[in-house]
Amino acid sequence: MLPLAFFIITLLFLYCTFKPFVEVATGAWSVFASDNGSDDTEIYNDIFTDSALLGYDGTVNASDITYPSYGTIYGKLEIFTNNTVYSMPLIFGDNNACLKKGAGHYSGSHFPGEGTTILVSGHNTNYFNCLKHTKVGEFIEISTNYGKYKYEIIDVSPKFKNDKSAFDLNANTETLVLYTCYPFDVVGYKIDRYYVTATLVSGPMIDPYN
Amino acid sequence: MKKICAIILALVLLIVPMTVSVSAAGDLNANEQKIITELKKEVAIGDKTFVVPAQYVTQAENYFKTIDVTDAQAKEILGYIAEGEKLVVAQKITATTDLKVLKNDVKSKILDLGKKAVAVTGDVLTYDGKHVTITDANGKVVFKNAPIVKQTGEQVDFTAIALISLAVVTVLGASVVIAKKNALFVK
Repeated sequence: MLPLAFFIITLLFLYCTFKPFVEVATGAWSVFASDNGSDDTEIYNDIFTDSALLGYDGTVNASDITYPSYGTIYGKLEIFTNNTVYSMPLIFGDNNACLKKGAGHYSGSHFPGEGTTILVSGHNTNYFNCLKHTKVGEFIEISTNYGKYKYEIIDVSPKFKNDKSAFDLNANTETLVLYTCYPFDVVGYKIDRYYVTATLVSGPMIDPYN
Repeated sequence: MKKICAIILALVLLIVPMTVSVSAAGDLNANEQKIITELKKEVAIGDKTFVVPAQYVTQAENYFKTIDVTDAQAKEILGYIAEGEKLVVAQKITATTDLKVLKNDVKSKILDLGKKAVAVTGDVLTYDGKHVTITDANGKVVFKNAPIVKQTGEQVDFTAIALISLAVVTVLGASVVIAKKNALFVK
């Protein structure tokens, strides 16, 4: 009886010890199984409907757009790299809960089509693990209810997390900045981020006065 | 500075929910634009100038896109901004551009104004010594002055792992000793 008790206790200890590593592994697996259902739906609104009618050009009136509140899925982010399309929900907000669900749009940055910087983060173990494959010249697309936006990657580089040269939230040109923790394969607190910067190629601009 | 600016902006954001109509337009109307213009305005204190950080203004803009503010409501909101500015300007800061030097009682007054406004709308303003957070009745974040760049990697407590590993080794060792004592091993 005693050896059995020790065996069970040891198993429990081993489970506690390796649980974080198992989570990392399952997180990485979710890259390949990102369409699996989630139980987070009750705390998130989802206002995104993928429409084949969405265009890449023209102008859209701001008054015709339903803007998301914090924690709302409002689009789809697709990263074209490594001969694969990595697709994920785009959420307005970037707290822990948001980042578990998809790519998180920092609420202090602007929306696609507003002509300035869009700052988006994701976990390096799942949704944004693919950033390590990205190269200059590849494309990223954002689909929303009001239009589709195509961006071309112009820079891929690791930087210190607070490096002010990484992005400018007041930029006069539309720039999509994706980032995740760096290095990718090291577990624990990280002070660097892997930044992928892309400029707008096509997509309807928002008219803020109509 | 950021904390105080955040609190002032928080006041604005708190007042808005109780004054908005049900239908919300995506564009910023003239009233909302007035508020944003006011938030972007530089505030002179002595020979120093202070501004609300751009990311906080954008948070306000993005919030206004989900609601509508009427003329009367805008007046009330602008009044709160003016009240906050007046309070800060009266401190006559000259040596620095950092509003951290404000006295605690001034900070408390600003914070109390925010909390009272929150109580009226049923929302909650919390300040944990680092961050001002505003949440609605459903606990949803309306505003937070958190760092722009987030932690986006897996977090593992290595201390816990070390302690657990040590415990495992101890348990295994103890089991071997007990097993030997009870002659469970066959030679």
